[in-house]
Order: sequence, then structure tokens, then C-alpha cells
Amino acid sequence: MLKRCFILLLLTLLLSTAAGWPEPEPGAKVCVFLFTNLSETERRDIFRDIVTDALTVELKVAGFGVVPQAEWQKQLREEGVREEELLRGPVAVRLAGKLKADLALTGFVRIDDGDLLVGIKCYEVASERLILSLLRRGTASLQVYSLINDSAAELVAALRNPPAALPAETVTVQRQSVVEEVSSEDRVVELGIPVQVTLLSKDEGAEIYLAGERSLGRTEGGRLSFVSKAGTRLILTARKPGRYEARIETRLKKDTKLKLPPLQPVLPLELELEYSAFQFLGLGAAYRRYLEPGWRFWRLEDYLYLQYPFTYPRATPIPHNDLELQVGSYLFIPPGSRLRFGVAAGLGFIYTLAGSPPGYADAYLNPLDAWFELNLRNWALYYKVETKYFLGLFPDLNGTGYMEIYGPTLSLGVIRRW
Amino acid sequence: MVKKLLPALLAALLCGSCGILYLTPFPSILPLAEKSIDLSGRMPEADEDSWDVRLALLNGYLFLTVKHKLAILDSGLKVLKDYDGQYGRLAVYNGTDYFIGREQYGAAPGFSHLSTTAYSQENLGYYDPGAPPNGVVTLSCGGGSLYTNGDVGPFSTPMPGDLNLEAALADDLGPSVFLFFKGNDSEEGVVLKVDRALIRSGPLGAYPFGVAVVALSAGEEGRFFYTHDGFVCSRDEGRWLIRYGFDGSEKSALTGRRMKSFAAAFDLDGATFYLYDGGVRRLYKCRTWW
Repeated sequence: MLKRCFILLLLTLLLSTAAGWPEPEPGAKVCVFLFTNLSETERRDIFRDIVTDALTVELKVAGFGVVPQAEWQKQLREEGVREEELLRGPVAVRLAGKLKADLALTGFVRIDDGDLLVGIKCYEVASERLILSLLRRGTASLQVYSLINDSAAELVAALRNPPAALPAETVTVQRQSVVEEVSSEDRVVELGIPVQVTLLSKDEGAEIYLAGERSLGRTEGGRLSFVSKAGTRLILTARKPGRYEARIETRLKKDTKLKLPPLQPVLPLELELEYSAFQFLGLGAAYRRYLEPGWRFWRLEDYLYLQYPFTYPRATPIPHNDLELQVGSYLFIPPGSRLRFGVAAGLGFIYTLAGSPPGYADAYLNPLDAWFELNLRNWALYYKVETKYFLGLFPDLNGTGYMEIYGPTLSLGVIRRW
Repeated sequence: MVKKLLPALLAALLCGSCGILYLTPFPSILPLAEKSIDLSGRMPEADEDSWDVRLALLNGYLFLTVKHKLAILDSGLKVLKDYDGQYGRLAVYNGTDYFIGREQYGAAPGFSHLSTTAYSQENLGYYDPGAPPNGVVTLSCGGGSLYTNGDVGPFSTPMPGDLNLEAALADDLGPSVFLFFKGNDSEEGVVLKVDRALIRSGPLGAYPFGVAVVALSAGEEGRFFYTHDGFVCSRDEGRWLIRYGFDGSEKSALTGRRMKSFAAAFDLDGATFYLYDGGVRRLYKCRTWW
């Protein structure tokens, strides 16, 4: 904000001391509608504001009256018009007329891959004529100021010497032209081939965001449609209360139907069943509670199994009970994704009832578990690799050192979410 | 992708589970163990993969040595005595006294220390009542010869190739001694059955100078045991204990985790064996797996 104020102050100073403009005559009144940001993220709003404010200052310096922003925004609210609609010439002209302005200035700013595109249109309110249309391209950097200067010079020149009034029949034709242009502008949004995008979703009422920020609306009747341009890299996020968001990414080529993955419900309780190699005669169960929904959790697991080489005729089964407390986290891939992976670490002990009671307790540190899981709606399957380092804290059977068989333990598990 | 991956993961899991009957992070002998004792407060820590850990079952008593330390236990794993001394491979009972390394101990239950002997502590040995005064016959191998020493000899018998003598076990019920040889750079071992009288009499003559009982696959660090049910051979630092019949056929195996250092001793009747896990310093008494 401070940066922006400083830039505007600097601009005002520069422009007010510039001798480049002729002494202004009592000028026409211009309604400078805030330029629409057509970038895919609202983080680019600073360029929109810089362009709008700078043009306003230059028009004032050149002697034009400018309708205060608060005034036209109030009118906008009263009429229930969205800012994006000001890109339509007739809307801008109608609003400017109500505000007793002579000219309506509207346009857009778009940032795409570091390129800055500024479109400016100026309509004469009385005749509803388009008297200027500018399109300037530059880089989204400090170059914005030279781009503004060039545009402002051309704009002021055009406003000082507007084209002569046209005969009535020409005005009619001109109006048609405006209508056609507006229609085109509505579709094209920016220079590009329009593409119709239809999102299909089973989650009714899910709000769809462009680049995670700009809302495109909610799904109704299992779909949401909007227009974009060919070649756009589309990043869409679907959100709905009580569900994990889902994200899809695609590059548009032609009219497209996109199927949104179902939004997974946020379920705080999870129970697991686990089977591990080398613990064949047993089964593990775990309870999982999330510290951060869908990401970090603690987990308590108990695995009871028998060591029973029944091919040895004189062997007796030895029960082992492995109890472990873990903290874990999923990595990188957000909740609701079909495939995810994560890591965990924990502490535990394996109690063995052998010989005379009280048996043995092999305490261990689990420095790393790594797993990946396949998510189905309320179910998930996972495949895990785990290690254990025995600590030798109690009367035990393994002493200290890594649990050694032929490598880390492999486990397969199923998760049920409620 | 997932469809391709899942079968592979399942296969890996199942392959990992193929050893489920045997592979466990716990001592594989647990289901066979009748008793165990923690000796961590009594015995020193053995170096990894060292042969400093030795166990002998003599006259129903266990003689466990780790480096300079000896613990004498009864068959119920009760510690009866412990000593410091010069210990090695030699462990012989001559009916009255025990010769453990260079140390001579008296009869049970006192096991009093009698003397330090001149027998080489690193030689293998057995009892031969026909060899006065103590009946201690010691054997060693090196430089292409088998040396007979102790209360007989000394004699020297030429040996073919690069064979090492790994064990010399006398059968109390018969006149024979089983000598276990293994090549230095080979996993193959051979068991020779030799008459005590032949060994006592002088150089053994041309190899095999006895009956070549059987060839065994012993592994590089193999250890050999004899029971009336056959031979037992260890492989892969105790991960495998394999029982062979007298005809050399593999009968059954006990498999589990690798032990940092271990020693074992078998009852001649093949019903019981004792195993000391040097990593955790625990001694087990177990039923055999056959």
C-alpha cells in the first residue's frame, strides 16, 4: 500500500511539473471506471490500480473533470452491476450518463506469464460512440509507467480532438458497431479464441475458483460453465464446506468438459487395519486423529501376532504385541487427491510373552515410516515401509540396533474414515 | 499407473511374507526355547563376528567363554561359577576334571581351579582314556599339515589343499572321533570319522586317513556340531542352523535373524541344544527343531 502511494505521489509530482501538455481548457467530465483485472489471480490487482490511478491523474492534469471513484461505485452498487460488466460499452455508457459524465473510460489489465496487456476504451456518452480503443502490451514490471505515459498521451490527444459528430444514420450504424464490439469483448475477454468450459461435478453447490482465488460461481445441476480463451492454463479449485478442496489443471484448446474429482469429506476419525510381512499370524489396528485436518495426525497402533514356525514339531507359539504411538504427516499432495504419500515417526515397544512372566519388552524408536495411499471415498489403501531401532531399555530380546530381517518391514493396510 | 503399481506392491509384500514362517526380528529359537538367562551383567560384550564366544557342553554342564571370562552353568541355566582365565577353543572333560583353554578345573559342584596347563588353548581337543596322564588329545591344522598334540604325539600328518580343522567331536558311545574340515576359500566342508586309536598311534597316513562321512555346505563362517541324529552346521552368522543326516542329506533348517556373535552346543542325543546370542548376551536352552 505504501509502495503504491509513493508511486502515485511520484507520478503526480512528475505529471504536474511536466510541460508536455498544453494548458487545459475547461474539459469534459470523464468517468474512469476502475480497470478490470482479467489476470487469473487477484494478486495482480496492483497493476490494475496503478493503471487506473495514473490515467485519472493524467486526465486531471490535462484539465478534464473526473467523476470520483466513490460516486460511480455507489451507483454501481445501487444498480447491482458487477465491475466486470463495465467492460461492456453500453453498461459503461449508461452508468456514465447517469453520473452526468461526457465520456466513459473503461478497459482491462491482464498479466499472463509476465506479460502486461492493457486495453483502454473511451466512449462518448451523448452519441454512445467509441471514440478511442487502445491496446498496449509490455512486461509486468516498472515498464508499466512508460506504457501508461504512452497510452495517456494518445488518450488525451484523442479526447482533445474527438472525431466530428456523425450524421444520424451513421450514429445508428455506429451503435450497431458498439453492440457488436461489446458482444465480441464479452466473449473474447482479451485477444484470444473463446473457449467454452463446462465443469461437471457430483458435488452440488461447490464453489469453483480460478487459480484458487477468483470465484467463478457454484455448481448447479451438476455443472458450471464459463468462457475462457484457448491456450490458457486453467487451474481450478473446487471448495465446499465440510469437504477437502479438489484441484484440476489443464491447458485449454477447444470447448472443453472437465470432470471434477469428487470432493472428499473431512472426517476426523480414522481406523486402520494393517498386515505386515514377517508378522503373518496376526493383525494390526490403528486409531488416527488429525491435528490438522487432512495433513498432520497422531496415530496409535497395536499389532498382535504369533511367532509360530509350525513346521517345527516341538515349537510352541510365542505372542508378540507391538504398541506404537506415532506422529505423521502427509506430504505435498493435498487431501482429496486420489494418490497421496506421507511420513511418520514414533516410539513403541514390543511385548513378548516367552518363558516365565513378565516376559520381555523391546522398546524402539521408529525414525521413519513412509507410505503412499490410494484414496477411495471413505476408504483408503496404503502401502508402507517402516524401520525400527531397538533401544534396549528394558529386559529385552533384541538389545540395541536396527530391527534386521532382510530390510525394512513392508505393510499393507486399509483405512476407514468416519 | 496405480493399476500397474498395485500388483507389484502386492507381489513385493507376498515375497516378503514368503519367509513368514521363519523370518522374524526375534530370535528364531524363541518358540523352541525352554529357558533363557540374561548374562549381560556377567559376561563381557563380544566383538562383532568374532569367535571369542564359545560354548561347550561337558558332562551335562555348560562352559561359556567370552574373551577372558568363563561362566559355568548347569543344564537348567543356573550359573554355578565364573572365572577369569586364558580361554580358547579347547574344552575337554576327562571324567574327573575340565580343561577349558589353558585352565584346569575340578569336578562339580565346586569346579575349583586346579592349575594352568601347558595345553594350547587354541587347539581343538577331545578325551581319549588311552592317552595318559589326562587323556587330553589336541588337534590343530596349518601349513598343509594336521598336528596331533596334548597327551599324545606330537605327530604331524600331511593334508591336501588348504583345509582347516573346524571341530573335533568325540562320540562318548563309540571309539570314533568326528573331524570337521573346511576349505579356506570354499563353502564346502567334509566330515571324517577317525578311530581314536589311530590318532593316538602317530601320523595318520594318507588323507582321508579315516572314513569320509559326508560333504557339507558350511558357508564361510560355518560351525559344526554332532548329535546322534546327524550333523548340524551353521551358516551366515547363525541365521541358519541346518541339520544333515549322516548321509549328507539336508534334513531341516532353523532360520532367523543374523546374530552379531553366537555360540551353540548340542546334546549328543539331539533333543536339546543351547545357544548363546552374543549381541544381547542371552543364553537359551531349546528343544531341537526336528
